[in-house]
Amino acid sequence: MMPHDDPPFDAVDRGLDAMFAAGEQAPPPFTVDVLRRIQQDRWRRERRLDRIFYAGLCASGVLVIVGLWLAFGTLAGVVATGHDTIFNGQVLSSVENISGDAAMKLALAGLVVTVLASWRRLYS
Amino acid sequence: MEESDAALVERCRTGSDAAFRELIDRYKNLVYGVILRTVADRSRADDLAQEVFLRVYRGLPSFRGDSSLSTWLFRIARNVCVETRDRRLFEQSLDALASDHRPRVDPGAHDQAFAAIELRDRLDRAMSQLPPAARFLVSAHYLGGQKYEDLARALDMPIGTVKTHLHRARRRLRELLEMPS
Repeated sequence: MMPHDDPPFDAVDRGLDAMFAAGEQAPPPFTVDVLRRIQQDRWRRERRLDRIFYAGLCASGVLVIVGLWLAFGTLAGVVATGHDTIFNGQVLSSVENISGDAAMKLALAGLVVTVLASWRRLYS
Repeated sequence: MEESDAALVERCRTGSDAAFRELIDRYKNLVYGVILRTVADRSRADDLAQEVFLRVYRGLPSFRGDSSLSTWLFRIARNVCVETRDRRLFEQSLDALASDHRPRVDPGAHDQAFAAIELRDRLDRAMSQLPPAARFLVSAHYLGGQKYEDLARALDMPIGTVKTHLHRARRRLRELLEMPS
């Protein structure tokens, strides 16, 4: 075993060496139990990833719907005001810019989340 | 010839269940033995040793091989043992050895005490009276054959501290052995 260079502890060292030489055996089903725990752990992780994936899908679906709704709302506004004043036109165009941009960004974010979730789901 | 630990780890990394089974079989008695000596409860030791291998499985992708596999295993085993107790209690318990100077009660009992089997029994009992951190250190050193440097790396301690703690643990064991049974 180990070289022990401390004379006063010789007896203790010998005893410890002897005690540990017998060694403790892990229970017979140990390996199988560990592998089972690993399987359960994998399964739990997959379930967690599934949840993230579906949450991403739902979120992106909602975002796309909101984006479309905003875009149609803006278009409808433009059609309804028709030949209005320059002031109205300016207001509408700025609203259109803001809402269009926001909707587009939200939809893109949803898309990115979905792609990332899909990628993790496929390659984990 | 037995496959090296590094090669075995590489195979485990490829996702081979057979390789991981081999890794468990190679180290289960060692890990279980050290934990059993530390927690002194077979069912808990079984559970904690399983937890060690679960963490090994999870950590394999990030294991860079800077230290040996056994050193890494001991580090995980130590963390698992610490987490089951109050961390401060686990760490202070090593320092407690330094101030614990109980008087030698019966030095004349020496001859009798060192008869082989009796000595083993008494050591077993003496070990159970050491603080958990000291039991872990002594077990890792004697059962696992871990060198001071490996223990220092596994336990995040300077080598000098490991030597000191081991010295104190052995001194305490000797004191316990010298007490009448």
